[in-house]
Amino acid sequence: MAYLLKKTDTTTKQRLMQFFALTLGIAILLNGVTIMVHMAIKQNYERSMEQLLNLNQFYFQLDELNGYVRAYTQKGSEEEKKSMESCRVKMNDFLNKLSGRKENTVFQRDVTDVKGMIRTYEESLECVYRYMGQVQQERMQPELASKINQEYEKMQNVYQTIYNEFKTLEMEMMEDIGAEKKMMNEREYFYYIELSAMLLLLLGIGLAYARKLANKINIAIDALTKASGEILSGKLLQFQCVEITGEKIDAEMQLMVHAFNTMIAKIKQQMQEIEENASAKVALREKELENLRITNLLRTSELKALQMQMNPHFLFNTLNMISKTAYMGDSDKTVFLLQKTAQLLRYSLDYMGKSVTLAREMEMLGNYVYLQEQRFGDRISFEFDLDERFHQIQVPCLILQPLVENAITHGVGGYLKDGQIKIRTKYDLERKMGEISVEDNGYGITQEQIEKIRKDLDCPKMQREKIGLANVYMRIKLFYGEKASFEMESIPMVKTKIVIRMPWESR
Amino acid sequence: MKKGIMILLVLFLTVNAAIFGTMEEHIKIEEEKPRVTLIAPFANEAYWGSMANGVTKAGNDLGISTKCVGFTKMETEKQIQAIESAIYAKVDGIVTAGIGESDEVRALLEKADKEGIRVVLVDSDMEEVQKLCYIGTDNYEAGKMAGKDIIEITGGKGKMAVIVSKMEAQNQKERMEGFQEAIAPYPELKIIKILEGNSDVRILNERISQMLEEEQDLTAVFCAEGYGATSIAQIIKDAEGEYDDVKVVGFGVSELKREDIENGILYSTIYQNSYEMGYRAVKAIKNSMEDKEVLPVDYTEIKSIKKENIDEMEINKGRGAQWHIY
Repeated sequence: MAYLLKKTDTTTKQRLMQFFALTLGIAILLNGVTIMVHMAIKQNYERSMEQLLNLNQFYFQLDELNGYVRAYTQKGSEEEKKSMESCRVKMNDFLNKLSGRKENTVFQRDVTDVKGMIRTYEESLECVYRYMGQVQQERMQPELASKINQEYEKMQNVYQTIYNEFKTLEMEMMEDIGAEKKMMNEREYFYYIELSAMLLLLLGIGLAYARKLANKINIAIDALTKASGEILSGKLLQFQCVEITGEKIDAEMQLMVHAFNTMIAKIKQQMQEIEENASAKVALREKELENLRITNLLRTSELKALQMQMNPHFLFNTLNMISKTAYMGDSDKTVFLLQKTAQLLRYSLDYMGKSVTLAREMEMLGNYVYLQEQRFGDRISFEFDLDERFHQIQVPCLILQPLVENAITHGVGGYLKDGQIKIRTKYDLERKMGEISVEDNGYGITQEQIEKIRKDLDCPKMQREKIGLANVYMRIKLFYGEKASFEMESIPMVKTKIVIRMPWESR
Repeated sequence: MKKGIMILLVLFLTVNAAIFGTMEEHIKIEEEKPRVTLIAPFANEAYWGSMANGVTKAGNDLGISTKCVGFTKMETEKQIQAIESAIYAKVDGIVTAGIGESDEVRALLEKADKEGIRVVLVDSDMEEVQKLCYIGTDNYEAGKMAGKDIIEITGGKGKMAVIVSKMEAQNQKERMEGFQEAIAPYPELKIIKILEGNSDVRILNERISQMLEEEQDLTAVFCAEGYGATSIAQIIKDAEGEYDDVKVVGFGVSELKREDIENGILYSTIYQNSYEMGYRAVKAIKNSMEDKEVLPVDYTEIKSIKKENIDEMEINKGRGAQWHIY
């Protein structure tokens, strides 16, 4: 299964991005609001300061205007009137500015009252203008002068009243400004609190996020660490895989766990392969070694067999017997005997280390027995009882001759008469086993000796150094494996029997 | 996220614009409103404070700009200045008390009336002055109410004293008349002394102490003005039992008077609804501006507050007034 990150998977990186976006959003939002509120308050404060300036400007202009009025009532020059008018315009301008933009009903009302007073003042001023105009046309009359004076007095009264109001207005403004200043300071303080609160909030969110992330990573890492530990402690083969459900961890971690599992599975598979290869090689090597040993043994046994064949005693005895026969003038028999001896020798040389059919082996044994009969005459009688159903079985060559020779040498060789050797083959159709037995009625061996010989048979040293039984036993074992058996039984002076059993099945 | 911030910004600016917009509007409306000025003899005091609250409430209710001017100590000169200032300011209505008995005040009020400013007198009337109306206590009736209380405690006999601010003050005169009317059927109850306080606490205290020492068989005192009852109650308390048989009936309400009534030193006090006076004064001006009929004399409710109905005593009724103190 190919396991790849999909776009829809939530990865740690995405989570981090989400976190940053969230914190940034909150920070900008809070800061924005705070700054705007702060700015609004500051703007208010600045406006108040501006108004305080306006108030002072207004009174300055009023003062100046009032100064001109006095001069004007005395001299009545147009220049002063012009100055007065300019003062008046400025004054009203400042007053209007003062009345605007102030959300304070009491202050508003006071400014409106001052406006009313200014109107009263201006009304009187208009009167003064009118009277002064009359003065310019005519001569100054006492009646007119007193009227002007009256208006002037009134103006001074109003002026004084307005001036008294100034204190009130200024005080109100200062109070407002003070309050605004205080609010600003409080706001600043609040700002710090807000900032700290924001930082704490962000910290909290950050910690929560970090914990969540760490948890998600930790779960995976813990599982992987535990698995690694298990593997390190040598439980690789028992180890199955790391199992974590998808919801608990992020996609990358899932990928990592998956990769880990895959890796472990591959390692396990490879290890198994290597193990299999190794055991096969060992088996092969063992087989080779076995082969080598077998060949070695065979060679040794060949040599020994050859040596045995070349047994000088046998040859000497045989040749001695043949020469006796020749001396007696029986040339046909001499030739026959020599032929048999030659055949025997040829057989042993030609088939050394090879397998032959039991029939052929029997044939050769016949030659050997014939020669021995000629030698021993009536002292030993040989008897063949053959079951030829399995005589096509392959046997190592020269396995029977040593047995017969053994029977003569250790058995009946010493008898002067009635020595008997029985060579028998038998086939058990049911068990599919062939049986070859060589039996003599010689001196025999005791049970202890049999035990010892049996032990010696399995000893490799014996197989190599001793000739005879051990060699035959070994070659039969090599040739047939465990399926063949080699048995020995003896009743001294009555019967000593060696039985070889081997499996055979006619095709 | 960006979109959200933009939306927030736009919202914020809109709200700002709306607030500043309405502020400008508000100023304009505020300037166009009719203006009424209350000129009270005392600022920051329960009685006049309640009246200022009434004026302010009426202003808010009826769309009238109100301004409350008061003084730390009542001086006719200051009252004159304040009235003049209001006239110069071309206000639409002046609410003031007819106390002081000054010809200058009369002249100014008449001048104001002539210039089209609606003048309303509260608390105490000046009958001869041309004005829109008088709104306040029926002082004659108040005097009568006090007289009944005195009879209740004295049983209609014994020697008693009366404390007034100024004998010639119209409200004092009327209260005295009402009081005398009430006690007329009891010839055994005699007024042996009338003290003038002139709204000066120190002098008043001296005079009361002197009187109490001289007149040992005094049974009752009627205080026709605010401070008298408090002063005499304090003196009785300080004397520690010496003057405990002197019964006192006062005028006006205050926290001290409430305590004194609860202690039994003060028998009763006449409660005047100054809040109502202030409210109705502004309403009268508004009605007049709208050419509606205005009663020349409008009496507000009075009550005799005793121990049993002490809960009805309303000190500092209403709220919201801001004083201009001169």
